[in-house]
Amino acid sequence: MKSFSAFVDKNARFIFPLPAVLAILVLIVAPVVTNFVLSLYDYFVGGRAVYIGLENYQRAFGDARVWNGVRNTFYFTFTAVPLQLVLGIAIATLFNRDFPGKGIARTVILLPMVATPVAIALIWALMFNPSLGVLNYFLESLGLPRSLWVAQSNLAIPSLVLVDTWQWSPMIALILLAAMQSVPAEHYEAARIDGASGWQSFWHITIPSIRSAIVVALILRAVDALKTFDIIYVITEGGPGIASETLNVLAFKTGFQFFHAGYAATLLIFLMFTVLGIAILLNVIRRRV
Amino acid sequence: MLRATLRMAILAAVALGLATASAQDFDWRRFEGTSIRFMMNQHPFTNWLQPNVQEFEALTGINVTLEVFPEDQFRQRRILEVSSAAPTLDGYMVMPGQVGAQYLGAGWMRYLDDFVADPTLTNPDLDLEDFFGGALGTFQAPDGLFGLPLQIESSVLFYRADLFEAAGLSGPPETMDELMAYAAALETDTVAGFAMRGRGAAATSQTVNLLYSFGGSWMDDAGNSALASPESIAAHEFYAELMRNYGPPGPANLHWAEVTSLYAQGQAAMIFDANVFRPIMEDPAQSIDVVRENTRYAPLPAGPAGSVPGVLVWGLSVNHASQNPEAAWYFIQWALSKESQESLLLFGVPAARASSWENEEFQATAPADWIEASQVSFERGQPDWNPPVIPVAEVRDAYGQAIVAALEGRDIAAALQRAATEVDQIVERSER
Repeated sequence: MKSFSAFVDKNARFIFPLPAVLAILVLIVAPVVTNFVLSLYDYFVGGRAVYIGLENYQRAFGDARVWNGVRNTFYFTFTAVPLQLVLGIAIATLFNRDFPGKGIARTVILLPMVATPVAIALIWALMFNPSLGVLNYFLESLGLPRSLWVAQSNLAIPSLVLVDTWQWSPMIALILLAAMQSVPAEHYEAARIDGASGWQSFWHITIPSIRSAIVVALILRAVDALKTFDIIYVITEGGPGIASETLNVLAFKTGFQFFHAGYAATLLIFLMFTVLGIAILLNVIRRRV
Repeated sequence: MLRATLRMAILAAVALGLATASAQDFDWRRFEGTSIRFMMNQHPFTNWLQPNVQEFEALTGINVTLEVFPEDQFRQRRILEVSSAAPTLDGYMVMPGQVGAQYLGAGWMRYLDDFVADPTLTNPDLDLEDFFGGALGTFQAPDGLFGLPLQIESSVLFYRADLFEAAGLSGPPETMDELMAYAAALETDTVAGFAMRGRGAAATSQTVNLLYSFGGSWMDDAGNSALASPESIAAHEFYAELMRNYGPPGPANLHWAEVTSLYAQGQAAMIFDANVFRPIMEDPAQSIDVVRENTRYAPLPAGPAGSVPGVLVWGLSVNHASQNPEAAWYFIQWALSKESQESLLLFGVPAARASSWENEEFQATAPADWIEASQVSFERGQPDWNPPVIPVAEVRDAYGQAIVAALEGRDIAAALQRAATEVDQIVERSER
């Protein structure tokens, strides 16, 4: 027994991280490797599996539907995330000062984030319904024309962006609020004494102080938004037609509805590198700021 | 004298013949002691079957094991056992519109014609003619019969008698031209004249009814996609005109839930969807009063090629590798007998036998026009409500995009041509 504890003492730096390393191997490395191997096969689920090398990749590059998916993925992400950032900063600024009912308001604003995405999506799908949905009812009561929301190709992604923004702006607000609260009050006092306006102290003190938190929030949200699946699949299934079909939704359909597991794996490798590329890019920015 | 002897001899011969025949009669207990295993989808039919199986076991002495799985797992397990030719699986539930092409193509279907032709193996009361034409047709492949239908669904027209009356229309539209004219007459600012599904792949099971009624089909004789045929183009132009002019806003978003709730909320004067959605229109929690009181039913109006709806049929088949195919056939005959089907229909599942639908107790539970519209559709039904190919979902998806293009006012012929080309590529890839 003594020799065992001596062994542990001596090799603690290998043994202690071992469970974590194993978990990462089993839960992350193994699926990625399996997925890559799968992407080299023409594998029809329940049928044949033929090794075809890089043919799936070749096909993906020439597949207009894949490019439609890439376009939609970027359109969705780069509309949703900046919008959420602006709203997130606004909400955080609001909660950074005192007002009556702040505690309750702060809890309420976190609710969209906590609720089950599929349940949220089902409710939004009902609200979007052009004939029976409550959103058009509101528009009409305000004297505005009705909208087709997700039922019209060119409005599908903006409508989904609305849902995503409703759901995830609070998360950005939460991260930024924590950062804002760590900005020393002296900075603001000094600025006030020097005659700075509220806007000036926001722009020249708050924003620079929370810059790195902004980038962290951006990385988290961008990575998440690129991979968004639940709300898109439940509300539009990528439709009308393929107007809101992102890479992730296309890969899901390819794998689990059309049963081409190999090609679906290829699309997911595409998605993985896209997400990775953007994460790395944002990380480089983060180091600079 | 001679004549009397002859008469005696003939009588004796006839009696002997009768005796011999009765020795070869169908005998329920012939396979006593055999055990069989059926794989079942978790479906209302299975719920009806489970408590009744003992009756079959008592009748025949055959021991039955039912393996029941939710649909996704059911389909995965089934293909696993059927493709590996598992000898211990004797039969299973199957929807030919889903996997018929795949199973027939792979040679996985046990044809039953030899059993049907053998009076010692087939109950004289089986009466194949009694099954609705559309239901039995689903199980009739060029090479023979590969199962029997247990339930059948089809789509019918739901319409509002009060709105018809207000618009001066008497009775349901009988032709597609009338359907268009009625939709135009019924259309108001708040009520759509007509609605049916438009949501891409999900709509194809309904638009196929128009496709058939305009003389189109999924595939041409050479096995290529026929979606771009002149008949198909005409069908989809009709569909687009009807939905774009008289349909609800955003038709490309309509799934069955949207279609039925629009109607149930009084926002559509006519809809076309599955007949099994009738309970929604009778449920006070889902439908407003005027809808509950004024809903009437009619079969699909006739197009240039007649009124040809698709039918959705579940049935039972014998596993090709079964070691007890005769006992499995006995089970199928019992489970789908006239008595069983009648009991199933009263249990709430649309049985596939015409005689069951004559049951008075059942007729009292459903509106007469719904029963009639359903029966008419079942007789005329085309089995392929899905494309008769292996990659069903992928082909429906390609076709669905043409449907959305038509609803959004894009070039219909071009969209169908693109879909046809894509379907051919998909089928070719799947056969590689």
